[in-house]
Amino acid sequence: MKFSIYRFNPDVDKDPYMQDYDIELAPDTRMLLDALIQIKELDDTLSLRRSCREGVCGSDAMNINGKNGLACVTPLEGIKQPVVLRPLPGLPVIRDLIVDMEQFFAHYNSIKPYLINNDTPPTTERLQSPEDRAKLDGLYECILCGACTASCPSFWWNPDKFVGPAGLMQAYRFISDSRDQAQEERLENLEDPYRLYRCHNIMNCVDVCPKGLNPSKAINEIKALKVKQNFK
Amino acid sequence: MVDRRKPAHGFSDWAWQRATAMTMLIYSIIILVRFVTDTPAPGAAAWRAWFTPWAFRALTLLFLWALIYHAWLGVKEILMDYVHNTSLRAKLQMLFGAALAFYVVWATYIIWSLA
Repeated sequence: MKFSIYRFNPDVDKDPYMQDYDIELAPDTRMLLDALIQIKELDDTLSLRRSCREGVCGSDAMNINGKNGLACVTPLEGIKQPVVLRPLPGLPVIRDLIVDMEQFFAHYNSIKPYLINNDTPPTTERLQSPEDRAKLDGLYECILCGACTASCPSFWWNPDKFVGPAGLMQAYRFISDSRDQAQEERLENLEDPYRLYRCHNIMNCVDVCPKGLNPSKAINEIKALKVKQNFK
Repeated sequence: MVDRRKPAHGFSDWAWQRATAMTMLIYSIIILVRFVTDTPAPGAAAWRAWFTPWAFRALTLLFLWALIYHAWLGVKEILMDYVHNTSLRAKLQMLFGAALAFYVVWATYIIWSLA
């Protein structure tokens, strides 16, 4: 099977380059990540992140034939050859397919991704009705792989200011949590013209999300809540 | 409570963009309906008469102001997306702002001189 993989080692290479691999895969190889691990056995200079290898940890997000996705949940069957693999676009490359996610997680931290509730905690747990719990479906499943944010032109142009689809969807996950008491502050935290309002709804995020989530919808729910907040 | 002292205009720009869009949509429907029900005869004189009633001129002016403000917000968005050099962005904003301010005056002059 043929692969064309982005290679860059800043200690050795002046410029990044594409390296071709043509390898005989083991007969039971099903997913792209399995193939990459076999390539790495032949060429151990190839660097990539992976951990759980089943679409839960979010480590192996990369650009696969021009579209961001997770190597571990991308089947090899029917994939276009050569399989062109590049690091996530718009993020600084550390080496080969490994990108620097610091900016991404700084934005995630900026939306305060934890429950804010000043009441005395009950002895067991903070209860929620099944209806309120259902509001978190389609939000909490995000694994923070960065595929959506790295496919968003608004993030490419303003990576230091725009929170990005992943961060904004997590912002909405806490805004819509019935146990959270900081909805006002959370909305106010997104008032700046860059943090939320760089989103122009092109929906690349929805197109690439390997978990089938819809950050665009969450962002528009936040915008609708901003209307309510401002006209209250 | 929202702190109104902060110079934040993310929401207001977004809301005004939609408010001006609605204004333009409503005017477009009105002009379409009037065009169908009260089609002007060919020729400049008939068209001029068509625009002369003061209420219609006022609506047209409102539409043009909405269009120009909508364009201003849109240009600002585009510049914020793509032009990251603050000094250059400020100059471009002034350039577009001056042109659009001129259009406001010009459009008002043209529409009002129809009377």
